[in-house]
Amino acid sequence: MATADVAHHEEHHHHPSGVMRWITTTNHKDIGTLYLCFSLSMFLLGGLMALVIRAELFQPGLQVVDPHFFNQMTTMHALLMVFGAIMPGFVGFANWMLPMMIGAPDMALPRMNNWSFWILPFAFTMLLSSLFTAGGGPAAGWTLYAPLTIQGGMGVDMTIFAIHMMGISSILGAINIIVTIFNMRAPGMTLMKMPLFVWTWLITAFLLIAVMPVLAGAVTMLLTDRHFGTAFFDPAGGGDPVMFQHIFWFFGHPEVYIMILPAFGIISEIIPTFSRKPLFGYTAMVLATAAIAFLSFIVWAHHMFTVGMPLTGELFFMYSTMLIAVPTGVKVFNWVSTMWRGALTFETPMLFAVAVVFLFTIGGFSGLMLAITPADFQYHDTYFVVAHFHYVLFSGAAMAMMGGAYYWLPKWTGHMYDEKLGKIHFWLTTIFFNVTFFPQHFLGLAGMPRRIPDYALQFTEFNVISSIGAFGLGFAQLLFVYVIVKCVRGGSKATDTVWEAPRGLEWTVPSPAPYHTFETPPKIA
Amino acid sequence: MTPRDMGVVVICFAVVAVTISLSFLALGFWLILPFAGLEVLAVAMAVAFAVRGASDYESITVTEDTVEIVQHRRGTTETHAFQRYWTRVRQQQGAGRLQPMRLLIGSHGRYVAIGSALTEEAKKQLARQLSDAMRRPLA
Repeated sequence: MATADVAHHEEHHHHPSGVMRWITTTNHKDIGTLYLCFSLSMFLLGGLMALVIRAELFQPGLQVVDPHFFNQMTTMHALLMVFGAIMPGFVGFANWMLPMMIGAPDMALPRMNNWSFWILPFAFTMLLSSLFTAGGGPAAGWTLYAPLTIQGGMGVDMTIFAIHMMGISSILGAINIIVTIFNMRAPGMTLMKMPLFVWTWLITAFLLIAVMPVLAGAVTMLLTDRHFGTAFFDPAGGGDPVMFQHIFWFFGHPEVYIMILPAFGIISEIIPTFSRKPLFGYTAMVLATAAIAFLSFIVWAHHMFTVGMPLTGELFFMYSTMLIAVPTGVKVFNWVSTMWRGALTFETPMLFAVAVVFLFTIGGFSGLMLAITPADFQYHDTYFVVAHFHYVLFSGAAMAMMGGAYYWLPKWTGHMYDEKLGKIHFWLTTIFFNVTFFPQHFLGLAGMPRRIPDYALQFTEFNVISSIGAFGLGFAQLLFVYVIVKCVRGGSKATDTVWEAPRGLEWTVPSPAPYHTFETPPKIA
Repeated sequence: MTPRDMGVVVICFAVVAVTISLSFLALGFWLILPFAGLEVLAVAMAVAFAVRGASDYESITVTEDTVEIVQHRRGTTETHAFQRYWTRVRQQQGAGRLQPMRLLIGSHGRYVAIGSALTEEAKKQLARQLSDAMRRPLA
């Protein structure tokens, strides 16, 4: 007697092609690609809005847009970059890399994964459409502070619904990541053997789940204040607008870490590879990530020192904020220690990683300055804050994603990217980034308020420099797009390991990674 | 992780989300609570779905005389055996375009749906493979 056993997963290597492949796909690599393409589109669109802002600020006076449209641009730029570029970008990395890093065949809930992505284009279509409604799009800043947002036009309602949709997408994505990491690790892949990118995403997913209902509740209460006669935040009805700020920042500060922790994970993958050493202090890195996540829940009011609160409150939030420097310092120390006496080479991903460590630390230090309550009274709502968070979010999150893209692009496409162009992109980005944002520290210290379309004459020179830098930074990203497209279309064949000494399961599969990987779980020693 | 461990994870989520929303409720901002409740429900459902499905499997064994299907779903095991000579594999199209195609195996009017977790392409592939296996003489 002979037996023919049929394993279901062996033979589904054929997949649909054309548009329907992308609409109906449940494959983690396809969905990762969708997220990354979406993120890049939003990054470019949000960047275009930043250029409108910088064009207007090139000279004092009003030249390019009217103040209301300027406010819409600042608001929309932030919403697009936060919810459209950075968050989906990291989810894209998670989709592509998490299953391969833990030896899983796919995400745990693939259909939900498809829905998580496809909510986003509709959400952002609604958000962007608000610009064309009577009264225009949201113009109160990405924080949507009441009571200004209680007074806005229909665009605010569309923004609220769009935020709900983005929130649903984020929550579904986070649930999927948690279930995948807990349930689908290959045998032997214990929690403390997981790559740091997986750890940072696990903690990020916890943060997302903890704070997204707070944002959903906040914007819903705005909506009911606007249309259903409630007065949660409307002072005219006895509401408390300051509570909106508390609620928003209870979501908003963990959100900052939602945007930076996966970047830390990417950097922690790149630096050991190009240092040819294991990551220094793995356990400390995991604990530092968890500590940052915990502290992110008890620092929110440092965004509102000038609003007014009891002295004990100001002291508490000042000290708790300064405490974040400790685990963050552990991370920076460990990255530097990983590089210490390593056989370093500086391919494009490593250049980005080193730049992130250096520039993010500048953002961290300016954050420490802002954490000091009496100093914050001077810096609050000035360009110093704008400089600070761009050093954290652009040179932290966005540049980490660029480094990650160069690092894994050969694994995704099977081709090596153009190293020379990659390096040119890196230097243009780094130089123009600093030209754009470093002068903004001086503008802020000199007292230039943020979110204004016009300014006093003494701020002119630094604004001219900043605007020139912004246009350079913007055009440099077209080179990034070109390098990616060129790599997707062809190039020299990438080997399976791609780099000289990478660690991790993703480097054990061929380049490009097959449509289905790890259908038979790998054994981890 | 075991189902028990996953239960602990869900409870941890619930405690954090409910504590946060109850704190805001105490200040009069009650609309956060329903969203937290919905989210905890979604987390619990997703975890339950994943945990219950994690041990599911189907095994199809073609021997000289019989085709045996073992289906392990949600903790229970069902076994179906058919005479190999009469066994047929059928692809039943769904009622609408969005209804998935079903793959049936059986004989004499008694059919069992298999491969329900597979994509349509994979089901077609499996159907071809099974038909080949049953036609092929086994030594």
